[in-house]
Amino acid sequence: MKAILTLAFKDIKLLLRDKAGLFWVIGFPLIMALFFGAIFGSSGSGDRASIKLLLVDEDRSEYSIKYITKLSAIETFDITQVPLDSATLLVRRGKASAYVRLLIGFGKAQQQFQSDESYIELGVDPSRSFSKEIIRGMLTKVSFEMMTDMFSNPKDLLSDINDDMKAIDTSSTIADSQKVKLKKFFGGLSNFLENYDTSMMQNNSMQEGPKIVTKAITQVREGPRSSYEITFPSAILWALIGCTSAFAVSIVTEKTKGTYVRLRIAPISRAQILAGKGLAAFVTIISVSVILLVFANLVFGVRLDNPVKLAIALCSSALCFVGLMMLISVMGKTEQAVGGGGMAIMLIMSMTGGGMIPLFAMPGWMLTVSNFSLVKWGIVSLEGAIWRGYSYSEMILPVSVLLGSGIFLFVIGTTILIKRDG
Amino acid sequence: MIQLQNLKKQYGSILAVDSISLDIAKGETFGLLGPNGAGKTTTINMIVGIVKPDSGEVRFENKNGDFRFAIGNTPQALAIYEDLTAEENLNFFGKLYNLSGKKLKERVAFALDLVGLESRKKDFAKTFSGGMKRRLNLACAILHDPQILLFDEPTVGVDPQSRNFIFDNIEIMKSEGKTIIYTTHYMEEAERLCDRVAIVDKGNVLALDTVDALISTYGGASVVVAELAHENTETSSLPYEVQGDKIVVETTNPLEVVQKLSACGDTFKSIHINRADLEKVFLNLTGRSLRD
Ligand SMILES: Nc1ncnc2c1ncn2[C@@H]1O[C@H](COP(=O)(O)OP(=O)(O)O)[C@@H](O)[C@H]1O
Ligand SMILES: [Mg+2]
Repeated sequence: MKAILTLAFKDIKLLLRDKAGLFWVIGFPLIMALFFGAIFGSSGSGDRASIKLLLVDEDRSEYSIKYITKLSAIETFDITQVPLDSATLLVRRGKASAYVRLLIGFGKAQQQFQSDESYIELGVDPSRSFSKEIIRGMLTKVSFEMMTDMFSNPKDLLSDINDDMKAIDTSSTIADSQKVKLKKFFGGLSNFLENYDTSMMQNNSMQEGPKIVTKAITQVREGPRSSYEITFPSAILWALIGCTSAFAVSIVTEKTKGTYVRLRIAPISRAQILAGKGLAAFVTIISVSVILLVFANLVFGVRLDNPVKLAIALCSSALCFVGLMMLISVMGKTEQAVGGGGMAIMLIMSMTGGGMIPLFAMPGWMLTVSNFSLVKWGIVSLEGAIWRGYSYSEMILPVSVLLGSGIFLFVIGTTILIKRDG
Repeated sequence: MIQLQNLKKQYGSILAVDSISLDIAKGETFGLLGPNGAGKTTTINMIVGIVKPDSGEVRFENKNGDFRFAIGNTPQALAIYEDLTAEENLNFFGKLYNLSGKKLKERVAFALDLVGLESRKKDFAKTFSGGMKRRLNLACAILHDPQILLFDEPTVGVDPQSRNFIFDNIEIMKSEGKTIIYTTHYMEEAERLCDRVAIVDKGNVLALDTVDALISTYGGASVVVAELAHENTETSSLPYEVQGDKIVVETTNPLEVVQKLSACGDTFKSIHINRADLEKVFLNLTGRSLRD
C-alpha cells in the first residue's frame, strides 16, 4: 500500500506541474459549466440570483401597501402578489423561493409598535436557509424604514394627534376627567414632536425587528433549480475526461521516457504500479469534482442536499473512468496516439451523452444512442443526486452500468498491457 | 553469481538474442562489447526480468529474499522523471525500495554526492545536460546499495567531464566488490574497466575472456612502427624494408623486432609498438568494424 501511495503521490505531483494537463482537468470543465450555464440562463431561481418572492397581503391597509412598495424596490427581490393558496402551491413546486403573508392587523400593529403578536408569516422550504435569512433581513430593514419615515415626518403625526384631540373634545363616551388627562398627554406628545430632531431617529439603531413566524413548506423536487444544476454535472464529466486522458497519457509517457523500466525492476508488483496510476486518477477526479461542486454550490446554489448519493455517483463515475483510462492507455504506443485517440473516443461519448447537449433537450433517437455513452450514465447518476431526486433504488441502474463497464474496461486494458510487457 | 543459459529472444522476424550463455562471477566487472543492435540491451532486460526470454533462463546464486533488492540497473534509455527535481527523483525511487526517513536521506545524499549533482539537487531534471541526466540515471540505480549493478551504455552522448565522473563512479563500485555488468560499443571502455569481456554480435557471444587473452588469441599480430631520423639514411643495411620514411612490421613477437631495430643505433627518431586491440579482435572475428 505504501508503494501505491508513493506512486500515486508522484503522479499527482507531476500533474500539478503540468499546466496544460491541469487546464483540461479543471479549467476547461469550469469554463464549460459557466459558459453553458450562462447561455441556458437560469430557468429556476438560484439562491444568489434574484429571489422570487410572493406576497399575500391580507391586511390591505395603507401601511401594508406602502410596505410592499418598499419591498418591491429591493433589487434582490422579484415580487408578485398572489392569494395564499397559490402562494403555498408555488413555493411547494419550487416556482418561487418563499412567500410573505401580511396578516390582517399588520399595519396597525406596526404603527403602534406592538411586538408581542406576529402579523408576518414567511413560508419557505427549510433547506433554503440562505434565502430565508436574506428575506428575514430585508423584512426587518423595511419595517425600520417605515418606522423611520414615520418619525422623520413628525408633521404628519402631529396633524393626526390634533385630529385625535378634536375627537376627544367632541366625544360623548369619554368622561370629562379622562378628557383632561388625555389632552394633557397628547399636548405633551405634540410638544415633543414639534421639537423633535429628525436626525436622531435616523442615527438610532433599532434593536428589535418585527416578529416573523416561519412556516416550513417542503419543496417537491421536480426539476433543476437553475441551468447550473445541469451544466455542473456535465462539467464534472468533462473533468473526468480530462483526468482520464491525462493519466492514460502518463502511462504511455512512463514507457516512452523509460521510467516504466525502472518501476518494473523495482521490488513492486505490476499490480501495484497499475494501482498507483488508478489511485492517482481516482483521487484527482474526486478532488476536482469536489472543487467544482463546492464552487457550484457557493456561487450558483447548486444543491448538495444528498451527500451520500452524490458520493456514490461520484465514486462510481470515477471508477468507471479509471477503467476507461486503462483501456485508452493501451490504444497506442505514443503519447500522441493515446492522447488523440482517447480524446476522440471521449468527445464522441460526451457529445452523445449529454456533455454538450443536455439530456433533457435530446430528441428520442439521440437518447437511445446516449445509452451507449458512459458520460450519460455519469451525468444521470450525478443529476440523480443533485436534482432528479433519485431514490437509492433509482440510483442502482446508472451506478451498476458505471461500475460494470469500469471493471470490464479495466480488465481488458490491464490484460493487453500485461501481454505487451511479456 | 549470475548464470544465463541459452537465452533467446525474438521480436517478430528480428532475432534480438539468438543464444547467449554466460556465467558471471561475484565481484567481477563483466563487459558485453558489441555494435548497436547486437542484443546487449535485450540481454540486460532479460537479466533484470523485464523481458521474458523465449527460451533459456537466468539464475541468481545465493539470492536471499527478493533478488530485485540486489539489482541496480542503469538503463540505456534514461529512466528519470523530467518534471521532478534530482532530489525528488531519488526520493521517489528510494521509497520504492523501502527506504525511508534518515536512511533515505543518507542514501540520497550519498548518491547525489557520488555523481556530483549535490549542488543541482533542487533543479528539475529537464534542465540538466545530457551528461547530468545520465549521472542522475546512474544515481537512481545505486540508491538502495545493490550487490549487482548493470550499466547499459552509460556514456552514450555524454560530455568528457560526465564520462570521467561515470568511470570514477564505476571504479569505486568495483573496488567495493560489487558485481558489475557493463555494456558498451566502445572498446576503450571495455579495456579500461572490465575484468572479462564477452564480444557479442547478432545475438550471439563470439568470444569471452579477459581483455589480454582475447587480444592474444584473436587480435593477431602487433605492429611495430619505426620512424627514420634522417631522410637520406642508407636503408639497405636495415633489417626491414623501409616504406617512405618509416618501417612498419607486423609481428607476433614485437619485442624481438624492437631489439633488432634498436641495434641499428640512432637511425630512428621513434619506435612504437601498436599492440592489437579489441577493435582488431572484433574485426578479426566478424570481418566488420565495431562502429558502423
Ligand atoms: N521491443 C523490441 N521490439 C522489436 N525489436 C526490438 C525490440 N528491442 C530490441 N529489438 C531489436 O533487437 C535487436 C537487438 O536490440 P538491442 O538489444 O537493443 O541491441 P543493443 O543494445 O546491443 O544495441 C535490434 O535489432 C533491435 O532493433
Ligand atoms: Mg542497447
